[in-house]
Amino acid sequence: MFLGDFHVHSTFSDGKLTIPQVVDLYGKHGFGAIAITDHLCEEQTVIGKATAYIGCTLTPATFPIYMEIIRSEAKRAWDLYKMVVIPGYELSKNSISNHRSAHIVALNVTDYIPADADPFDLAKKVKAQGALAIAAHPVWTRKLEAQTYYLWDRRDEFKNAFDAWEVASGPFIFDEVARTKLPKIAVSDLHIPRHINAWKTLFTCERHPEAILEAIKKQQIDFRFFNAQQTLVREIQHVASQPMLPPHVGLWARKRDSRNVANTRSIR
Amino acid sequence: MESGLEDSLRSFFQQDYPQYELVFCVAEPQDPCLPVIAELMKRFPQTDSTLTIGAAQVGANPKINNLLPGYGLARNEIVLVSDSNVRVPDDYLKGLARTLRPDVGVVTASVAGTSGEGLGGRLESAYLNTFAARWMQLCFAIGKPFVIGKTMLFRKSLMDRCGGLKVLGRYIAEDFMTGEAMRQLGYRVVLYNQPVAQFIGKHSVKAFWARHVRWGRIRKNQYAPGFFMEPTQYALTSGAMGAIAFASLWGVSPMEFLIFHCGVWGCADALLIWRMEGRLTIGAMAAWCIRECIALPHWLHAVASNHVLWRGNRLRILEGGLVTV
Repeated sequence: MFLGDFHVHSTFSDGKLTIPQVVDLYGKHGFGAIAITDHLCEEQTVIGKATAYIGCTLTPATFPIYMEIIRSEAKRAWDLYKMVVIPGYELSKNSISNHRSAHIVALNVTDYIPADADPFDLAKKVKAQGALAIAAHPVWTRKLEAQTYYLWDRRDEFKNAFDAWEVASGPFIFDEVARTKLPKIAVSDLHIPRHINAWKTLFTCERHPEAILEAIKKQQIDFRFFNAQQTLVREIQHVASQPMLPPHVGLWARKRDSRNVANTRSIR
Repeated sequence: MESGLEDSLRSFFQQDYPQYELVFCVAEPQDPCLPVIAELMKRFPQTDSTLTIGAAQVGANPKINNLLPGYGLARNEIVLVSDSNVRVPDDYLKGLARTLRPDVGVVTASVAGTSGEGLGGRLESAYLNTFAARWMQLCFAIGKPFVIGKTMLFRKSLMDRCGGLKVLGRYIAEDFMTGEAMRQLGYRVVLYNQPVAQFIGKHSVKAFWARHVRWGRIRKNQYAPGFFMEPTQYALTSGAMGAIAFASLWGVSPMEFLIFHCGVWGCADALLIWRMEGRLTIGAMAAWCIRECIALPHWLHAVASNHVLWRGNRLRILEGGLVTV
């Protein structure tokens, strides 16, 4: 049993942590899988061009290095934490109107896709490369930010286009999504370290990218709220109660999975 | 063949460093530099040196294609990539290696143009010793560091984490992307405290113009915000902007302001030339005056297109520094 987070940003777009820092953050908290999903904005729109100008999006130029770093970090994450790292991106179609904006998280990608196409075509292109397409924060996010309602407005039309819809993002549960029969996933949409305190997806499958993606597709998953602070308190209490043991993190790493799951709350 | 090649290469054989190897990468078997390298390798048998002839074809960047066979043979963890026209002091490797602390991804150095001959050579020196050096220092000071490929020191293991040199073959500015990749890994880009000397020698004005139009077009596509700020670093352009502002705000005579501004700017650049090249001549200052006068048209020429001619290849630079033949 392990927790996974499949919507995480790095310094390749608007995140504050580098990919190695993200890996260490999740690895040290005992996660079993994460996906790095930096923004990939449209190339032809003014907003997209402005985002590229300030360096807050993946571009055809940065993508090869992005993929190489994820590849090498995936190996390091596995060797060090037994954590799976999946390459992804968040295709971001941004508009002044919330109802014309849509974000699509793609998991296990191999190729760069310009985000200018129609969302339906984008989802098809994502799936064509063997990746998973997820509708990101499709409803009101409860945050002071531009919203992305395009997919939710057309949810009947798009219900088969996506492998999952985000039912929780950060600390918020999206009741509208929870009430539907759409396939779901819970993520943190991490940009800064404290965003790790958020809803996560719980897996019981093997720690392998294909098994994890299959579990999302087949919805053999559950959702939990993860609080890093509680985990830390537990760790400190645990060590203090056994003063003879050296305060060696590795000792607790083996039990970390079950402990993290125990420190979570369920929405099901 | 580069001017003063033998002296430049010899400086690498004479490094005061406990253990190092030299790997020379030559693309063509007909390259006239081959006898020079062979002679130096014979003259310094105590220095572990290797010569590779031939280029890989991993992308449009001819420098990376040239480097790859030699890079594969490099046995040590710390690698210094250096151009053949760079001349270094005996303690250069030692100093660079000392700067490569655990949190540092790549060490680079500003380039001092030395021994420029003819108008083209002097213009090249003036460019490197004033504008280029000042711009580099400014970028590092404001936290926008970049790497100059004339000399860059990095750890092979870190480079491999970004995909190795091979992945850089698709970019025109492999040096800039090296810095970006290291930054994305969480490592710092550091400027060495001494400039590295580039022996310029004879240089035509045409070659100077073409080379810096190419550099300008690379910078424009690699980091446009910085490139479009460059005219503020030209004496005449910044002086004209100041003259307009001072005239409209306080009624100062624009011509008097411009003369005063260029005088102060010229004194500051004279100090910089003296610091970079170790001497200051009337010829260098004359070249500085000409360079400042042509700086804006030179920059505008770079703005006009995205095509460059490099080592006989006509390349098109795409946004972000990707390149196609």
